[in-house]
Amino acid sequence: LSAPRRADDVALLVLRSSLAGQPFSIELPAWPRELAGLRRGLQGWLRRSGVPEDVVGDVVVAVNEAAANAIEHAYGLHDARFSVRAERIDGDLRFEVADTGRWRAARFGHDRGRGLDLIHLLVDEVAIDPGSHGTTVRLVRRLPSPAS
Amino acid sequence: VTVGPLALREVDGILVATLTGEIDLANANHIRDRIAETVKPTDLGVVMDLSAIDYLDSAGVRMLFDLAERLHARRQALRLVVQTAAIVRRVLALTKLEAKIPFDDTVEASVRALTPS
Repeated sequence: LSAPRRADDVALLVLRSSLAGQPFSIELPAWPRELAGLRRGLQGWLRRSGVPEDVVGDVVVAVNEAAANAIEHAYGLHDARFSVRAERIDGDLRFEVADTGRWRAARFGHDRGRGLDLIHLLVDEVAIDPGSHGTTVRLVRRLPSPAS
Repeated sequence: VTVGPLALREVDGILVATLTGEIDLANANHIRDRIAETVKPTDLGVVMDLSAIDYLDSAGVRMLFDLAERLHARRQALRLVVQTAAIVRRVLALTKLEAKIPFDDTVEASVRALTPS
């Protein structure tokens, strides 16, 4: 039952992330097994966007943790989904991980504390917005300025 | 249910767990449970070989801390082999895992360290 849907998601990911210079944007079912594909898609987009390899590793970890938090808080809810958006704006990489719906405002429970600690260590700015339509986590990682 | 990339073998009273692929929220608990139910009360301890994994998230780190605590309560030790991908070493360093669980460069070194002289 889930296999065709998963293939669609991967196809969508490949399609969307193949548009070089475009933001990375994807919406996925809130299932743990989606994380691996998300990491691969984001990593591909970052590399094509010319992001240094050490920064690629750091932000993939940070975004994965924010996504894992969204997934854990959707546990037991039907058809919960989450979205991830990434953009390179001037010298900044900006990320947004949002749940898309009707489930309760996600919080970083004590069990997720280690994930949130990791995020703080790996990006320059972290904002958690527990809105009425779901939680949005925004991350900013500044890129090293080009050598002059 | 796919338990994930885990192979278990017994070496001189030590359970050696070899992990491959990506360890994350999707499989960390299964791996922890498989190891916890396989280790025998008479075993000296557990060696987890992480040298062939490509990714470890905070659920994987939590799994390693959990196992270390469970084994400690049974007077068994956990050691890790971590000559591994840069991204995994980075996560291990940032989460200060080495302060809690001893690391070795090879499975043989871990087994030696667990074997009474």
